[in-house]
Amino acid sequence: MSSADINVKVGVNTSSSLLQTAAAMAFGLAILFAVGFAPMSAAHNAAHDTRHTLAFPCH
Amino acid sequence: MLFSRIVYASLLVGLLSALVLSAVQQWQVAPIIFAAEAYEGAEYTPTLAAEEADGHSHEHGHHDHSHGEEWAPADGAERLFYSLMSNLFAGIGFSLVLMAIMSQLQLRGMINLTPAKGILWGFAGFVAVFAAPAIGLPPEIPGIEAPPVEYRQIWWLLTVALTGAGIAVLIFASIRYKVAGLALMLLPHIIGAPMISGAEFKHPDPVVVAELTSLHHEFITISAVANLLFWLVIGLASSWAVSRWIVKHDVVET
Repeated sequence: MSSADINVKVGVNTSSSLLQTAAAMAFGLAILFAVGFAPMSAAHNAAHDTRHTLAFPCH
Repeated sequence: MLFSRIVYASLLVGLLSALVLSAVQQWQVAPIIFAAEAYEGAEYTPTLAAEEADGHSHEHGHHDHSHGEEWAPADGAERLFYSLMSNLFAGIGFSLVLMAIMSQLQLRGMINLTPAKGILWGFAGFVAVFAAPAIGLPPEIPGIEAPPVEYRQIWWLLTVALTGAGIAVLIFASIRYKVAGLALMLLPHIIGAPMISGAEFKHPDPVVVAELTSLHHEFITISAVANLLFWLVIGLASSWAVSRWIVKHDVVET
């Protein structure tokens, strides 16, 4: 029995799960923006070596 | 709650992936960055940038470089600390996104994660986030000449999004539509990455330019290795967390 079958039987609320996974994804993207894209000089300098290592566009 | 389980798991997955990334970064990648910075001219090193703020008048070079006189961590322990923290946040950020997608698909029964599939997910992440954008915008060392950062960021985002979508179509769509997945992956390269005309390095000394070019090639190879390991850990650990805890827990609980 796959997890989908189980979900159907026990009635996992799919719209709530969609909302929650979307929120987790948005949270992750916000963190990535701060680390990799935020244009402020202090943010750039703090994350400088990480941006270079991950090949985010830098400078 | 699904959201909080994804967030808790991302702390662990982020930490694991950041440990691997930091090890390769500090051992192999950072020395190349430091070597390239040494050629950039003294005014660009973060420690001297702090001294400039003390009021030394000072000419900036030809770089359109944003180090300026803003705060920067001092070389050594402080810089290491900020790099490790940035690696941790990058690991958490990527694992949040990956586990959010995995959890949703696993809940719907569209995937059934195993460790082997987790490694494939990690490899897909490496292709979408590192390899595909690197085709048009190779990983850069400090001091390299490049088009305005905003243009590169837009192309990078476009490439990552279209490659990710293309991989999803290739894997999940029916056979008739798979060619559309390939088209999505090719599109950013047909559009073309922003490029500069002229030399990559503007240092006047040809010996230094040769040295920087060799450092750059070395950097591309080792950053590819660092990113591949980073993504394999994220894929493997994320698949484990989603299949063993995040989604499984949901089914039992409900």
